[in-house]
Amino acid sequence: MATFALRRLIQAIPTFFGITLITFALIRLAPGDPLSLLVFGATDLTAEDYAALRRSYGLDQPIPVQYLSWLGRTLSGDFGQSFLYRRPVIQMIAASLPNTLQLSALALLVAVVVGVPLGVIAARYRGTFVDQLIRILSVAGHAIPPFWFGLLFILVLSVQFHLFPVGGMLTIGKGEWDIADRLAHLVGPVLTLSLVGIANYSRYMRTETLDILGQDFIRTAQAKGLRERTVLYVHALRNALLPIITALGGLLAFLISGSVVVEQVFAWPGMGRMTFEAARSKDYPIVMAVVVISSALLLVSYILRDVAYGVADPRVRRS
Amino acid sequence: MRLRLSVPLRRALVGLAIAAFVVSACAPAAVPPAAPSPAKAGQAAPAAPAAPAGPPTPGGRYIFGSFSDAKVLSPVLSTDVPSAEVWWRVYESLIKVDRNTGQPVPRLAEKFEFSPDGKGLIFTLRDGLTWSDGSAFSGDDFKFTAEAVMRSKKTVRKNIFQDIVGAREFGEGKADTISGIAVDGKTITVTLEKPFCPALTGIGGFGVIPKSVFGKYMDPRDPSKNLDDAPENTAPPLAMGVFKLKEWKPNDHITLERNDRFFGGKAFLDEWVFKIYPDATAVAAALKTGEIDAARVEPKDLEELKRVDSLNFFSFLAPGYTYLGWNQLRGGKEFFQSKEVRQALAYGLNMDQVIDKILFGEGKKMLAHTPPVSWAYDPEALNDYKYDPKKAQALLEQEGWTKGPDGIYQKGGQRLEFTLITNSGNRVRETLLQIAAEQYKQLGISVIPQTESFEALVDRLGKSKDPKYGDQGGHDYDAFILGWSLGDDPDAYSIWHSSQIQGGFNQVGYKNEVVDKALEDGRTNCAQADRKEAYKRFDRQLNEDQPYNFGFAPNTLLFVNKKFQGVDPGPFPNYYNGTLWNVEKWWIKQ
Repeated sequence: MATFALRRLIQAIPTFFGITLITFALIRLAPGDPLSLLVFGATDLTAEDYAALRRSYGLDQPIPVQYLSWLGRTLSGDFGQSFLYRRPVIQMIAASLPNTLQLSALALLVAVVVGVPLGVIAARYRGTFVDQLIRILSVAGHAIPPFWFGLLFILVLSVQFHLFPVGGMLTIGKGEWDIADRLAHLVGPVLTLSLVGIANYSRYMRTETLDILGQDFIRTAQAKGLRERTVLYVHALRNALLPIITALGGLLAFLISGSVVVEQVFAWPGMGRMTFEAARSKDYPIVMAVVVISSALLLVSYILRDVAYGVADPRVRRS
Repeated sequence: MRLRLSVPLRRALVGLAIAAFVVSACAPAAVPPAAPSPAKAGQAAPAAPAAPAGPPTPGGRYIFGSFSDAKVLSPVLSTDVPSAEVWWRVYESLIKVDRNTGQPVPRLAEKFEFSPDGKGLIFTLRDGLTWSDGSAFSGDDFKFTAEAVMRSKKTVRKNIFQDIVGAREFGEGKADTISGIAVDGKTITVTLEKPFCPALTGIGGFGVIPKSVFGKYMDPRDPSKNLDDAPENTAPPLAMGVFKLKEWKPNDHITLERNDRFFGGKAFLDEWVFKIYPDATAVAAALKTGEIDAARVEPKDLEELKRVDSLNFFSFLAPGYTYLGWNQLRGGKEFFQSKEVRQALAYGLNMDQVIDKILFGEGKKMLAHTPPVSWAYDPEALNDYKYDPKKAQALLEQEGWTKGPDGIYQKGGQRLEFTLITNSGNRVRETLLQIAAEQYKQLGISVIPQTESFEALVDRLGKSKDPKYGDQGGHDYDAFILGWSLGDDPDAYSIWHSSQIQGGFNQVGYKNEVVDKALEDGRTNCAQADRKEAYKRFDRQLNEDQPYNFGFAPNTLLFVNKKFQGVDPGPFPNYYNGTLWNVEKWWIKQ
């Protein structure tokens, strides 16, 4: 088992470097560089000053050399300084990660808590009006683009009816721990972000539950004279949930990388928005740090999943 | 959506970089009256604030909405408008400029003058200046700031100080102080290597940082030491301005609190907040709900916001313009070298209609370079190039162009056709691009519209080379639409002097001796009347030559909640604090 885990880990290393190399190359080869954006309009800057600036940011080196020196620093745990914000990248991530975690964890919770029961109910009342209604909701959840839903939410509930704030995490002047204020700010982004999840899980749960309801042990349970509710929620649900739990495994990366769209629309100061801004202004150190962290987490979660499968099913270990 | 504004914002760097002014000999001896004065004609919109009633009541908070976060709160390192908007509340400069005309006015220095030869600047500090912790402010802080800039490896502000005697040597470590700055009690004397009139607002208008905080990062004898990575750059512990930093939540908000030791008397407001939204639409929505008290908005949101009862609307011409540039150093498009063709391009585009359509009337047609709000502007004898397609066609025909079978002018087998580029995502420019292509086509000029990303366009403007004229500084484009956001000083050397064709911002390859001479005079003859005369020559020549279609100057559109009393904004300094020049006198009427 240990060798299996080790093998998967070693296999992941080239993948990881491949990801960083490709990202690094892509972002550098895109038109525009951070300096020309930074100094654009500084019309009296001399050519020497410009060259000195390039040197101070290490941008005068060939791209492969830049990659290697970036890699060296990163491996020693130094993600460098943001070009634009002139502060350590790690400090910027530390400031926005909790915000994103808060948002995505809540969205995930809402998606599961709402989506799973909806799916079970749809299965239970298969073919009825209730099933149809849930189906329509779920298709709509898939079809509505989150940015559109978010903008509509703001336009109607915030601007028209003043029920929720337009954006941000806190009202200026309210305390850090004003829970009601915090919740009011969370409603829009959490709802928008969980929409697709609700749609997904309800469809998924419906299929799984129907599958299981057709199996022998359910018939046995029913034959024993157990109540319908017990059969559904104790016997069927537990088994139907297993594949969902597996699907949750890949969500680690989602949890920390955040949603660019939702964070943009609701002015949420999280990882997604920070990364988006950084990519737009060619702030390489931030973009690279986020790529490293999220790809590492994604790879680790895959390894954990494989190892878990291996534990569960010995055949996987040998393949 | 934010990219839509990023060119004006980036170009506002010009404001910071070439911000400079001149004063004839002696300066006024007091700050401008702080009480709100009646808005000037054409400046304030219908809803100008009434005179405040009753005595001001202290307290309260002002929340300004922005769609871009500040980056670094340091005059030495910041390059963007949001950063400047925040740190200008924290740091102060020796002089400032009048919000309506851009003329220099006293600030930390109560007096300032230029020596007659244009090489010496003398500032006299006010009495009793102190930082927010009670420690004394002195000329040494100013000198230290200049030294910090010269030693920084990440600043883009060296050009402001490098012409001071000994500044370059200090930067390179050949000297352990800048010999051209002498501090004697309240008097600061700055000696320049050569006369340079814009230095007054450049040097005098530079934000001064505290030596007591940043001194530890520098070593006079070691040029490798600098303050580039000092954590205080993002969290200034001391303030000279109206406010001081309280907290900064990146991408969310920055809160400043009152500095009780501000030299102009402590402010009525307790806090000044800079709140960040992802784009202009969100800012407008927050204005409507009252989540923020004030913001600058885009023309498209104007009509709706004007209907919000709680808001006052201010509109004033911004120093800058959106233009169409004709590349004279372009192989195969030599027709741009013809003045008549360029004049035809000016007559053939209905700019008043463009302003109505794109800016909803909130702007002004530009006839030359100098902003109409600047003290250096003189409209006398400027041709207004009123829309006249017949005249445009007559000019072309007079030059030997004849209409071909497709309705497009041609001459010697060459069609009058060119590609016009602008950056995608900027709605104002994209609309202008469409209108220009349509109207020029009706005239008989074929325009191929093209958009590309801002980054790609910046690269193209700065780095590309025309195959034929590349050696002379020609770039790889026919014509483009961009904007300039200009500084306080009328100096436009870096944009229009012929020496700036190679590697500079004269990206249309325009060369004219009258313009060159006028720009040189404007830098060396520092008496204000002389400079005004120089820029008049300069503007007249540009107006005649039309190296750009000078397009239009947009208005700054500002909304402020009516409860704020004493708000009296103006166009200078461009963008970042023409609104807030008297913020210490603002108060909230309940």
